[in-house]
Amino acid sequence: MRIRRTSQRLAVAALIALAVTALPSCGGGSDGGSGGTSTTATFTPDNPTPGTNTIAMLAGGSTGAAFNVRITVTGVNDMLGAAFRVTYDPIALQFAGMDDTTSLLRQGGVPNDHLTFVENHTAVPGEIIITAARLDPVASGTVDVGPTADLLVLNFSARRAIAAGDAGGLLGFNATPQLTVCGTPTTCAAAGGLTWSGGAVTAH
Amino acid sequence: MNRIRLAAVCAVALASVGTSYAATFYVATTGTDNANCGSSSAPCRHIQFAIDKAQNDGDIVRVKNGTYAECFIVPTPGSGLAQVTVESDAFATGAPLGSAILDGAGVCDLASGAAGPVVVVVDRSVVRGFKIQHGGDSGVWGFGAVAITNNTITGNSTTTYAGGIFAYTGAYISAADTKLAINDNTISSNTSVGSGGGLYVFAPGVGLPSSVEIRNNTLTNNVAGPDPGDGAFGAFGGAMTIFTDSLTTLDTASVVITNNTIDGNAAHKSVDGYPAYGGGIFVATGIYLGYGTETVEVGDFGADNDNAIRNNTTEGYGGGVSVNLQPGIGADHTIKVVNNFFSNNSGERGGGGVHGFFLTGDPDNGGTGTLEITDNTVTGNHASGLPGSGVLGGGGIFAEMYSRRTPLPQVSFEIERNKIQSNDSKSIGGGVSLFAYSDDDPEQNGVALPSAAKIDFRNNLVAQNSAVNPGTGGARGGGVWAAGRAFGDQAVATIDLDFLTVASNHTDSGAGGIELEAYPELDDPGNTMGFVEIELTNSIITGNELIGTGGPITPGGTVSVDVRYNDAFDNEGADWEANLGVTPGTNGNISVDPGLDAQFTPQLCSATIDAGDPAAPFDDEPQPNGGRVNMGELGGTANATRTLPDSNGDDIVDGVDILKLAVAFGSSTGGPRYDPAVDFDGDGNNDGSDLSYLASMYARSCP
Repeated sequence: MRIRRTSQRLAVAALIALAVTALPSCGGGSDGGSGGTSTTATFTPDNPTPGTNTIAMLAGGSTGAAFNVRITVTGVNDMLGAAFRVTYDPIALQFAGMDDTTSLLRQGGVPNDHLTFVENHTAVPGEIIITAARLDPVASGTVDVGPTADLLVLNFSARRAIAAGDAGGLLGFNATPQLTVCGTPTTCAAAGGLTWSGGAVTAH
Repeated sequence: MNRIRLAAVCAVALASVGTSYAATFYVATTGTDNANCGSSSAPCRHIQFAIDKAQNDGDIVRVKNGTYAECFIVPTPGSGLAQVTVESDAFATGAPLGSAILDGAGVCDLASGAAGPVVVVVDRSVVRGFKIQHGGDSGVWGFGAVAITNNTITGNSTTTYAGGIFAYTGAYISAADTKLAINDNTISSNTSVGSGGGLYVFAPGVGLPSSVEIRNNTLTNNVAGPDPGDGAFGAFGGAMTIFTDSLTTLDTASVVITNNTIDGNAAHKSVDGYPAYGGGIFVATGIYLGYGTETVEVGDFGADNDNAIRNNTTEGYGGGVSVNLQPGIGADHTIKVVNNFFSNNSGERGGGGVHGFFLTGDPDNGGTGTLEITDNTVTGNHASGLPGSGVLGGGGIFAEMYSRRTPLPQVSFEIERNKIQSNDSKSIGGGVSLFAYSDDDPEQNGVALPSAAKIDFRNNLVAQNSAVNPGTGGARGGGVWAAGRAFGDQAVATIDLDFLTVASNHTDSGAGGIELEAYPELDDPGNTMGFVEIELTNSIITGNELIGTGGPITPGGTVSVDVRYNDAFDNEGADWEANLGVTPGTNGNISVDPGLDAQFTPQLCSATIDAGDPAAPFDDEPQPNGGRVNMGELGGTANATRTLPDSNGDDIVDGVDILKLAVAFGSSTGGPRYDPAVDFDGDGNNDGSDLSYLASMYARSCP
């Protein structure tokens, strides 16, 4: 599991944010934070071309201040599901919902009662606690994910202008995300050696 | 074949019509009593005249609106009939009731010089749909399996007992599977010098079973007493007095009292000062012989079975209800007070809401007795007697048990699952007073036998009650006062306090939560000391004034105090009085914020969850229950707070828990993927119900 990079990035971003706060003349937005119709938000992934064994945030569609972030999986075999938390700045960004209609877990026509997609974004401010999984590896089977495919799509909008390097625009995975794989139906375990990759938002 | 059968059916039907034909006789204030009266167009003038015309069981006397100044009996004595109905025409037609008035004024009221009831109804006859008033010796007497229904019975009186209705079963029961029914009446403003201001039922089983149903009545502002007689008892039952009895071991008597409103009635002490019992309801079994099976139920489970008992007063015991259980020889007697609402009742000497009295008094008594006070809401009741006056208080409930050489398990006194809140006492036991008394040689003849008095007080909420004497102080035991007294070494008096939530109670002195007292005594020859046992387990005692749990009791000798698996926290002065010898951190006792909500229910992360006695049965708690009972009033019950469904122990319910379930999903006990850690409902399956519960708790965490 490789989450160190994201943590380092958060630390750097925090330093930048402190610097920005200390130097207000350096920017921080000019529209008062309303995320109005004139704002255009853009998500830039840390890893736009994820390799094998990667769960990465990639850009989805966007309209004005609204933008989508795809949670993608690349090169993971025997996937049953994943549990993770997405961190964001709730002052700068507003979480608007989760879309699982195009989820890779639906491949093969797995019925809805053998799928679970759950999110909570209120229990812990700044965290979206997410689970996406097939239920019952025997009945539902697992998924061999080759090329990059969407696990979920998260809908956000920018609440204020966000400059490049603004910590308020960071999106990442919190500690201890887990992706479960089942080698055979009765030997399921948390997959190791994964890379979890986030990104950043700018809004102008 | 079919034609033959059809003919036979027709013959039976015709025969039935011929034998069950019921005549209807009409009465109106404009009618005339003569040989031809009784039809709707030519009604009789007097009800008794029409009753006398009845020829067959099932005949009906229908009475038009108007005031009838007569007092009558149905059926006519000597007629050989058992079942004649007297009903108002308004009842029969569904019109508003109250204008067909049976009025004893000047006929059978006290001033008439021939005081008697307005109506006497016998055997299986029926009186319904009337306003019945001004009886001089009750409004109605009923003998047998009669039905007295849909009447307003008001303004009647008696110089003896039973102001509104007197009803008796016994030898007047003439057929099996019948019952005396007093249903859907309003019984108000009746008075009796003796007991039973509104209603007095004596229901002995003599041969045929005696069965009584009292349902859907409203009893208000009835008054019993004061009796001026020399040495007279105080009155029993301001609204209602129920006595059962049984002549032999084969006889049965049962009374069911459900869905009544008992409001604003009063029972007075006698002029000589003997206390009254039951401002609202008084119940007693086995008063005379009690050899058989007797059961009285005041309330029952279900929304339509509870009684509302409020604003009643007594100059004695049991402002709302006083129940008196005295099992006879070889008998089985049971009284249940279940699922009622007691509010703002007052008892001068004790038991503002409920008074339970249990006496096993015969040394040769082989009978069993069960007294249950369960699932009631007891709120805002008052015990007004002052300290030092010999009263035993109990603003909400006063329970007293006297065992005289009767061992367990012949006797059982259980007070369970009640909500006892905001009651007050000026003496002891703001919420509850419990007193167990046991004597191994009550006859003082040197023949001692095992004797046990035990009160089980379990799964009750006792909150916001007060033992406060505004005058001179001295009240104690804001939530619970409990005491045992035992004479002789074969006598044990036990108070079992288990799974309680005792919170935010107030007191003048002593313990604001639970005040304990023990009185071991020498038996009469002065040789051996009785045993007093106090058990306090699995309880939450928090936020009480002064001391949480205390009292003048020191464990040792023949006094045992077993205090285990309790959470005592944030009581004003101390959680435990020093003489109890309780040390938090030992014997499962803790002192941690129990995390109660406004209803005194432990929250999800309460330290009292899964902290009760590990040996206590936990199966009734809903899954996930952690495999161990909770402390407090809901511990061990189906309403217990569930354990956080945190399958991996990271103190949060999140996707990791769901993934565990996802892996195991669809499996059952014994299967290779089955995971008991995510079988939250414990049904042996990892399935949707587990997922549903996980989802409902998703993202919940405990710090």
